[in-house]
Amino acid sequence: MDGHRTSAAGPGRSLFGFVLLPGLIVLAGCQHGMMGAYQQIRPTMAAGRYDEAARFLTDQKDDLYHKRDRVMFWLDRGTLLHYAGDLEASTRDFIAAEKAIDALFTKSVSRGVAAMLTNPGVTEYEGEDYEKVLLYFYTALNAVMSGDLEAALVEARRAQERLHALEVYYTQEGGIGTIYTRDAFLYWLAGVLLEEEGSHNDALVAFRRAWEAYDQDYARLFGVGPPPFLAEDLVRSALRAGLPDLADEFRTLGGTGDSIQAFQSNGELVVIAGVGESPLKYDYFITAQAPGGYIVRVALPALQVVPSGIQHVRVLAERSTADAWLLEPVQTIAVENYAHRLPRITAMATARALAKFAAARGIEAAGNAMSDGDGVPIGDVLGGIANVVNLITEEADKRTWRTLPAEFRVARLWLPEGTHHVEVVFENALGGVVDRVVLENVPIHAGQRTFRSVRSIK
Amino acid sequence: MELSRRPMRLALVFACLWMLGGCVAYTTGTTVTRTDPNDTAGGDLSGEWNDIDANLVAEEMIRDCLTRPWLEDFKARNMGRKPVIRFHAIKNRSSDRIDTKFFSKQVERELLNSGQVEILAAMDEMDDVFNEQELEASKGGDAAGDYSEELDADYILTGWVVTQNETDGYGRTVKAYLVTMELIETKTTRKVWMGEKRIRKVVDQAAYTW
Repeated sequence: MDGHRTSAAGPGRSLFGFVLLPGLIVLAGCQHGMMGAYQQIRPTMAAGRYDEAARFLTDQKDDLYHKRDRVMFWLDRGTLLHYAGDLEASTRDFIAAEKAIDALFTKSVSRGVAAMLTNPGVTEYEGEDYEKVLLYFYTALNAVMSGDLEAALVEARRAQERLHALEVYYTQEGGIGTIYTRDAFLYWLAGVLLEEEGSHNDALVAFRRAWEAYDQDYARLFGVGPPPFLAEDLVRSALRAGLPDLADEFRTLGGTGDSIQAFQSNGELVVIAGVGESPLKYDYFITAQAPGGYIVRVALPALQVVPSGIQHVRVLAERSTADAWLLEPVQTIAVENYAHRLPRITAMATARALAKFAAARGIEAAGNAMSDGDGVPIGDVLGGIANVVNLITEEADKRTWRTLPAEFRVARLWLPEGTHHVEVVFENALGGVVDRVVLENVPIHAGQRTFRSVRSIK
Repeated sequence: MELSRRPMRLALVFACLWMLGGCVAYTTGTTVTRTDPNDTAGGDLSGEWNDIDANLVAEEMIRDCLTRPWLEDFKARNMGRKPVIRFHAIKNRSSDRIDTKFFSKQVERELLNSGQVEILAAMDEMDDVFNEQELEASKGGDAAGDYSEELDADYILTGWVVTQNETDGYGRTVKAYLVTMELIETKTTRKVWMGEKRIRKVVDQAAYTW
């Protein structure tokens, strides 16, 4: 009987001691690498050297990102490449991220089990909902800035399809998963692109959706109402679509339709400014003592808003100037959606803590069974080790698209045909200049739009 | 005793499954199999528009186009002359990243190989022709800027692709493509043919894997 017990316990002990427990710790890993990566590239980003930051991520990829974090890597580097002006490479990264996100709809049971015994960081990161949608902002912008309007519109449509899929998914599960189901900013961008294509009816539909989304969702949930120029977009597109009655209706919102005249002799410069840094996630620990002396620790991801000194953005071009309006409050969307999901996240974290506690007790019981009568308290030792492993591996999922701005602001100004010297000025609350981006030789063609994308994290 | 051994056995099973799962997950390797360009082997990988769709649509739509009355009517009015068509590239109004150049070339090939019509260079290819003529002009060549032999198009062929996709939120997606092509008489702007081809795909993605 003893011999039988010993032979059964031998391989079991080696598995626990040398494979499973260290395996869990290694698999659980730590997320400090990628958090550190951002801290390393941050000064380069602040200095506007996005190409250097992208090169750093490329060189350090294998050290900083696990394979399971590949979506985050592609999102991070795609953003840096966009601001570095390498639009083609940026799009490649975002498409790679998109394909991985699609594939990750299929959840891995083994990784799910591993997450329950360690932490959610061992699962493959598929991105937050707003991240899955905003990648299309960059692919659309990359396309239109490369002169491929048709491709830009494809990306805008993909964004709407992604939002629709998320909406259907959350409706099926009872509407508790998200409050972010419409993206007003991307509707507006789609409207502008459709108008460029000459599809005025479709542009009108997109602008109307944007207005509704700002008016109904963004104003209520995120504190951002429709930008003033959206009323003008509505009036102009209604007139161009041959719907003067509808245009009159939109005039009550503040539009005049004068921009049709302006378009005949001028071009429009659209500057989209990425401001600040998206919120970072940190561990919020809840620790309690369980029966038997076990320490149970639950890690919840908490969002920390990264303060930015930038309060205003202005665009100056020779004698023209325009203020940039807040169109996409990424940071607020992240924070509010997180608050909405917190009960579910807490429930998952609590279930994980209970599973880990039960596993530790099971290991202790198995150890006690092995040490029965030989005087060595194997159960206590293994139980203690398991408890320590549980504490070490407990970590919230802090992964996020770190290079995404805290908000997108948009400035639009009419300029005569020709090339222009443009300055984008980022100002603090007192009007002091925090950062300045100079755009040389910006081409403007009458009746057309020119898009430029700039960024400041100061 | 049996009860106290159960956690140990469970742990052993769990560890074995874990390692097995790891082996499956990290097995890599690439194999390449050459197939005939018209072969549908491999089929659809993601459900998005692919070369099979492009081949199928180009073939069927041009076959339909060339069997309609407009062709015989034109020949009857022009002493049997083949109509000259300028093909404008297919526009992508879908949500798929369709390589419209590839698709357009398939359509152009089908038209040309039918032997029933003459095809002019597409508008985006005209730049190359004009550049060549400019080059000839700079050398004092015969073709220098002489566009008198350039054929006028009798018809313009144009088309676009749109999609209507739907998802159930549980991994099933229906992707519906509608390809529309129109043949327009240049002198009268009359539409003499309009063709449609629909493609519908159901994509099922598993919610869970080991």
